[in-house]
Amino acid sequence: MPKTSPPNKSTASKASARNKDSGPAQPPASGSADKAVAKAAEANDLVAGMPFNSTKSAEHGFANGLAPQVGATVAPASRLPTGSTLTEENTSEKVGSVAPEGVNATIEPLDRVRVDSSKQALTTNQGVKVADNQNSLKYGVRGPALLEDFILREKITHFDHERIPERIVHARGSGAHGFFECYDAATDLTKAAPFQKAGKTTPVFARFSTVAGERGSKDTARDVRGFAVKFYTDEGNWDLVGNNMPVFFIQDAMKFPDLVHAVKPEPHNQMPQAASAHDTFWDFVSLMPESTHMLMWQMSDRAIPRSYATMQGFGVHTFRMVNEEGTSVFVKFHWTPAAGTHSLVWDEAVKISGADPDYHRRDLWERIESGAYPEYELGVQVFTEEQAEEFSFDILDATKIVPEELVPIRPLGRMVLNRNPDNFFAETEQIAFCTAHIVPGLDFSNDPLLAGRHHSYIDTQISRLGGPNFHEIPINAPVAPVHNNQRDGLHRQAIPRGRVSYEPNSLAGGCPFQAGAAQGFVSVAASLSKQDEQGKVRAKPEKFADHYTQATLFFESQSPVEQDHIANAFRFELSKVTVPAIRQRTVAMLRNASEALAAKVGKGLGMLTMPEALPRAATEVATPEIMKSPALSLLHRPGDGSLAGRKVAILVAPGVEGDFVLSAQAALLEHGVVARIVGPHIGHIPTVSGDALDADASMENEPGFLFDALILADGAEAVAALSQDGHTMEFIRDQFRHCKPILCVGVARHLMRQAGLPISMDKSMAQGGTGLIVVDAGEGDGSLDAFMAAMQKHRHFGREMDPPLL
Amino acid sequence: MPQFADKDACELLDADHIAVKHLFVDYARLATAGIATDDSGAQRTALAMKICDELTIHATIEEEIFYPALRQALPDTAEMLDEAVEEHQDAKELIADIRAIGTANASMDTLIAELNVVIEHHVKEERDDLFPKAKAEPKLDLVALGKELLSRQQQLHSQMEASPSEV
Repeated sequence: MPKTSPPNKSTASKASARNKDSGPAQPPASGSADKAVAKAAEANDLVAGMPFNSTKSAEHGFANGLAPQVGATVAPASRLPTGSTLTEENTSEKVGSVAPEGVNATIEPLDRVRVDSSKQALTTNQGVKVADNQNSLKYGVRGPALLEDFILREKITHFDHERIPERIVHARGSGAHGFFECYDAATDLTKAAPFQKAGKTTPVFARFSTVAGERGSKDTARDVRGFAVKFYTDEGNWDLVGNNMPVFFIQDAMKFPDLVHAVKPEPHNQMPQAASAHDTFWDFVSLMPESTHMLMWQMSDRAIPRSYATMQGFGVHTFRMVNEEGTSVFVKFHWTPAAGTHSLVWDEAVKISGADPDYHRRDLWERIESGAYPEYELGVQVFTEEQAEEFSFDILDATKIVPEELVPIRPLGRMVLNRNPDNFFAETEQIAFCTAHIVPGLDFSNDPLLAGRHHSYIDTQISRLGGPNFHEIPINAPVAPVHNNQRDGLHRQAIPRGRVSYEPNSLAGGCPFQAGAAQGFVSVAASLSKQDEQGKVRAKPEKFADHYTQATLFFESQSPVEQDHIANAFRFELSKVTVPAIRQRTVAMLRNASEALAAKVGKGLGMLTMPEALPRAATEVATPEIMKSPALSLLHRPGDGSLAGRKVAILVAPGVEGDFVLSAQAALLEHGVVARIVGPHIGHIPTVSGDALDADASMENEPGFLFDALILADGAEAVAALSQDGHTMEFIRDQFRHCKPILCVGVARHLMRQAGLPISMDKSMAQGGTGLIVVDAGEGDGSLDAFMAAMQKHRHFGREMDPPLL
Repeated sequence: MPQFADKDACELLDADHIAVKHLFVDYARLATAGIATDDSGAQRTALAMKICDELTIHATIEEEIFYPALRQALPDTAEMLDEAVEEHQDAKELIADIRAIGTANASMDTLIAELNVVIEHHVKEERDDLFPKAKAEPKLDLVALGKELLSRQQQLHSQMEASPSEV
């Protein structure tokens, strides 16, 4: 055997560093020019830098639980030992370069995934340019289609899978981007990121929805509206997943599937769509008297808002805010619309659902598109645990409000919705809210309905969005950095660098490390005084049994017109029920909330005798602090008086006084009111002066009930033409019945008479304030201020009779 | 639009119903608004007094002229009319309470709302039950009755303007 040179240690290191299993007893010397050796050496140094888990002992005991420590870290000598592969230095236009240190690029602004195809050729999803997008590949022009046609198959296959399961509830929704702006630092209350500095803005996405209807159902159904806001805070996403009503039908998540099954279309025949007026709903709620308070809200005009911009929002449950010192208080969240609280009337809502099922979606889109950005003030009712214990109701009960007269609302900031989505599916449909998405400075109460919601949202999103990685869908990704060891799953987007996906670790220098109490989320150490003495139990707190006090409060706090609407809504809904005993039981339940309401509903349903009141679950209830709360009336928040976003119809026909039409349109637009020129047909309409108008809507395609107010312009020939068009009378009757302002100039008054304006309106018109402005020829322009003042009042219920006058 | 056209009895009484409802609605709007305007109190007081005056006159002409005519022509309405008079009595008591308060305040807001509900109920019964019977009864000359009601109404209005407390 020939003599060889002594073994070269460096060669051995090189050899061993090239294996991914087994290794020598000693680490290689550091400083090697060989990358594999250097990586092995630095990995050993990195691991050796953490000889033991220094925070292990701090995992124990209550005090440590309240103040978790920051996880231990060791800095690597270079980026070498934490990488996945030595070959990351090899770059290409696909792989890019080495992952930038400490960055998760999946949270970059949405620009990273926006697509604009200007000046681009059509391609397959694989980027292959498509020469012919008109024909499938066939053997001969009349021959069979070929299986090899990958272009056709890709296109059809993708198309076949375009749909995802719709949300079980709140399927029908519309959303927009915007921002939240903090008024003043609220650091006394909370350390939550959006409230830390006056003027600080936080990006938001808001989604409004109905609850019961399916994805393509009508917007104007009588229903609760979802009011969900995702705050992309710099400390993580916070979702305030609320409704436009502050209470709910049930008190415990255990009943949620029952409630939703009851209100959804009945399972045997899938009817009715987007409606609560059917047997199963009223069967269920009349056996669940805790729903009485919510039913009052649902039967009120709040269930048929004029616009998403004219409804309040509520967090529903009691939450907590926690400040830097760790002091926590209870809060109830309130969104108050700048435009005031305004609603439709039922007859109008029903008609709109036929002519424009997208009414609220369109309204939201058009307001934003035209710069009339919907704006809401966020406020909180703040109270301590001790105060809560003194209340006559339980703050964990989602069927109870905290009256504003008991705890006033403290304004925190405002939300402005100022950007429509680029793509409905990618943004509004794929956005995923969850009540459990909170940030440091916020926490929960023990509301048992809230607890169930924390589970339900994520659970449903896993199937709706196809797996556990929906947080990476661009609209759901936070702006705050995301670093954890959650890995894999369907549709994973992120490409984590390195081989460590666990914590504690030393191979990645301990990163990502636990943030500790100073930066990380720490739950409030809420003490549960009765927990120890009671133990596990399935039961409700005693005060939950008071099912009627606040239902009475709500009803008694409404203006008489609103009370009428509530009674009429109960009458309508219950008239649709086919089983008389369900109707009887509901009226029996209402008797416990308001005898006057029950009597009115009973009469409206043709009941000859009233059913006995339902037995009460609680024979003794605490005396309420407040007997009447004006804040519960829609009239309480008339808004800032702005008319922006409202729609007016100006009826025209050949021979109309065109100059007035144009000047009225211009004057209204100055106030943000969109006035449409509505003719017997769209297009060319000659005017009395010989000019012409270009009608942009017709009475056929935009019926009268879609508008907030009506102008009947002067012009003998026009009026003659309109008087022989049946649409005109419907236009006027609906405007009158829905209590909307009408400006009627010159001979157009004949149209009012022809429509059947009752003679008994004469005294009211002489008295004034009817919203019906009838003026002589030439006085139209001078009446526009009065017309707009009438529009500010939204509706003129003085003319509302039941049954309607017209 | 001709103002105060000739109306039959039902139309005249309904004109009162609709006019007073406008007043109630205006009152509720002022009383419920979260941000009260400076003159809300004065406006509410004026509305309340007008409501009281109008309803007093309305009840008077119904009791003096309309109801007796119905009793005579339609004996089976007697029970309904007794109930209507009772409702007038409830309304009159509320009106007296409202007048006693004099200046708008929270109690007046509550009383006006109560009066509104009482009147709403009364109006609905008249419109739903009484008026159709009256309109269908050939023996009743509603046009002549309307003239009689109007004349007495105007008389009462003049009296009220002269000395509001006398009516």
